[in-house]
Amino acid sequence: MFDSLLQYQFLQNAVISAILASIACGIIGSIIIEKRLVMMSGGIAHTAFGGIGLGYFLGIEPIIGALFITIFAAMGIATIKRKTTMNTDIPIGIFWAAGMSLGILFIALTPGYPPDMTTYLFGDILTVSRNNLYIITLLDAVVIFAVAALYHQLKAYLFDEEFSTVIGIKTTLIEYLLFILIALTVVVVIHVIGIILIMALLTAPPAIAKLFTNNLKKLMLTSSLLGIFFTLTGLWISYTLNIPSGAAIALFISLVYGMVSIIKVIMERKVKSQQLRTQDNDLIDKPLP
Amino acid sequence: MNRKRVNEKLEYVINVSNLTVYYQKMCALSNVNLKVRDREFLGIIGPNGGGKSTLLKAILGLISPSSGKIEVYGKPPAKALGLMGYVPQFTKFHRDFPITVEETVLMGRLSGKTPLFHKYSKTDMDIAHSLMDKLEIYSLRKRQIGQLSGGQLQRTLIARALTVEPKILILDEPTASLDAESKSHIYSILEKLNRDMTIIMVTHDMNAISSHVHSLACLNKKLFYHGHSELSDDIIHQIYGCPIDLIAHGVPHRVLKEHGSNGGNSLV
Repeated sequence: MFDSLLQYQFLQNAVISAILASIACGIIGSIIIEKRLVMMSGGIAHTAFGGIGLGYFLGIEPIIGALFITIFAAMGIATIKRKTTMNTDIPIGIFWAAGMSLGILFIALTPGYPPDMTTYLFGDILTVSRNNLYIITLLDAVVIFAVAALYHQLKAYLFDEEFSTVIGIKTTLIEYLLFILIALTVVVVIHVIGIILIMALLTAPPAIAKLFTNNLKKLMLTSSLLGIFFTLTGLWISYTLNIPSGAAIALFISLVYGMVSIIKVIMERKVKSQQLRTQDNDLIDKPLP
Repeated sequence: MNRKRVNEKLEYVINVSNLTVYYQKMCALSNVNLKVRDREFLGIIGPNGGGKSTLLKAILGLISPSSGKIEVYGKPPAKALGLMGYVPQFTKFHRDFPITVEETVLMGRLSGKTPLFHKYSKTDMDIAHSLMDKLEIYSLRKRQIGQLSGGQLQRTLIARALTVEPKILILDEPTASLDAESKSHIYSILEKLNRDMTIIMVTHDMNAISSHVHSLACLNKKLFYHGHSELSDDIIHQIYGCPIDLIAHGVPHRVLKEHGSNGGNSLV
C-alpha cells in the first residue's frame, strides 16, 4: 500500500481526508458525548443527505449543498432544543427522516440517470477529489479555530449552562455556534465514512479516550489520535481486502470499542474482587475483642 | 448574628414585585412580592413544585417573568450579571464530566467580556486558590469532580460562585442529600460569608431554618409568608404543604415559638 500511496493522488487525498476527518470528529465528538448531543448530531448528519440531493438537483457540488442544508438543520435543531420543553427526541427523529426523504426526492427530480448515492451514505474515501479536499481543510480549520478560541467558554457551557449564563457568558450564541460546528464536522466526514456511519467516528474515539483522561483538552487530542488510527487502519483494511472504506472503518471502530468495553468490565470486576478480598483479609486478621 | 431592627430607610438589594411565571399553561409563580435587604440570610421553603427554583431562576435572569418586575440593585437581572453568585443543585451534575476542582472554581472568573484564546491570569489563579483554601478543597484541586464526596463538590461549587466576587449568593438546596457533618460544615461557611454578602437559599432543611436563617419565605405558587424565620402557628396553618413538612420532620420547638414582640415580622 505504501508504494501506491506515493504513487497515486487519490490515495494521498484519502489519507489526508481521513486525518482531517478524525481531528474534527475527535474535537466535536468529545463535546457531543459530554453534552449528551449524540441523538441531535445524528439528526443533523442525516439531513446532510437532503443537501447532497439538493446539490445534484441544482447542479452544484453536492458537498456544498450538504453544507448549507446541515447548517440550516443545525440552527433548526438548536432552536427546537432552546424553545421547547418537550422531548426533543421526537422533532429530531422527524428532522432525521425528513432530511433523508428530501435527498431521495431531489435525486428523483434531477433529470438524467440517478447518481450512485452509496458514496455519500456509506462513504468512499477513495473518491475524495482535490476540490473536496480544499473544502474539508477549510471546514476543519474553522472547527479547530473556533474551539481553540472559545475553549474556556465552551467548557463552561458544556459543564454548567445555567451558571455560565449567570456569569454573563453568551450561552445561546455558543450553543448555536456548537451546532454549526457539528454541521461542519458532518460535512467533513461524509466522504470518509458516510452519513449513516458518521456516528461511529463521532462517538467511539472519545468514549475510548475517556478511559484514559479526565481533561477535556486531552480528551479531544486523544480522540483525534485514536480516530486517525482507526481511519487509517480501516483504510488499509479496505485497500487490502478490497471492501468499501466506510464499512471497514466503522466495523474496525466497533470491534475495538467492543473489545475495550469488555476489557473495562473485566478490569472493574478484578478491582472489585480484589477490594473484597482485602476486606476479607482485614476481617480475618483482626484479633477478636 | 444580630439583625438590625426594621428601619424605614432600609436598602433592598432585591425587589421582586408582582412576579408571575407561567411554563406554557402551567402557573409556577403567581403574584409574588419579595424584598430582600442587604446582608439578609433568606431561606425559601415550600413543597416540591412550589416554585422555589423558579423564583431563584427568575431572580438570576435565567427565565423571564410572564408579568411583574425584578430588580437586583435597582437593575433588571440581565444587567446585574456579576452581582450574583449562583450555586446550583449539585445533584444535577454529570459527575463524569472531564473537569477538575481547580478548573471548576476558575470557571467563575469568566464573563461575557472574556476574550478569545483566553488564559487565566495570575489574579484569577490567586483568587481561586485563596477561595479553595478557605473552603478546604485546595488539596483536592487536581481531582476530577467525580472523585469528590457530596460535601466536597458542594464546597467546590460555592467556591466557584465566590470567584465571581458577588454581592448576593444564591443557593439551590445546598445541603440536599448531605450527611449531618457536611451539612453543618456548609452552614458554618455560609454563616461566615453572610457577614459580607446577602444569601438566599432554597432548602428543605428545617433545622437550618431555625438556627441559621434570618428570614423565611414560604412558597407554594404564591408567597404565603415572608418575614422572621420563627413561624407562628397561625401562619403555618395557612401554608398548605409547609406545615406537613415542618411537623413531619420534628422541627426543634424554637421554630414554632411565639414571636413578634420586636416588630421584625412583616407579612407580605
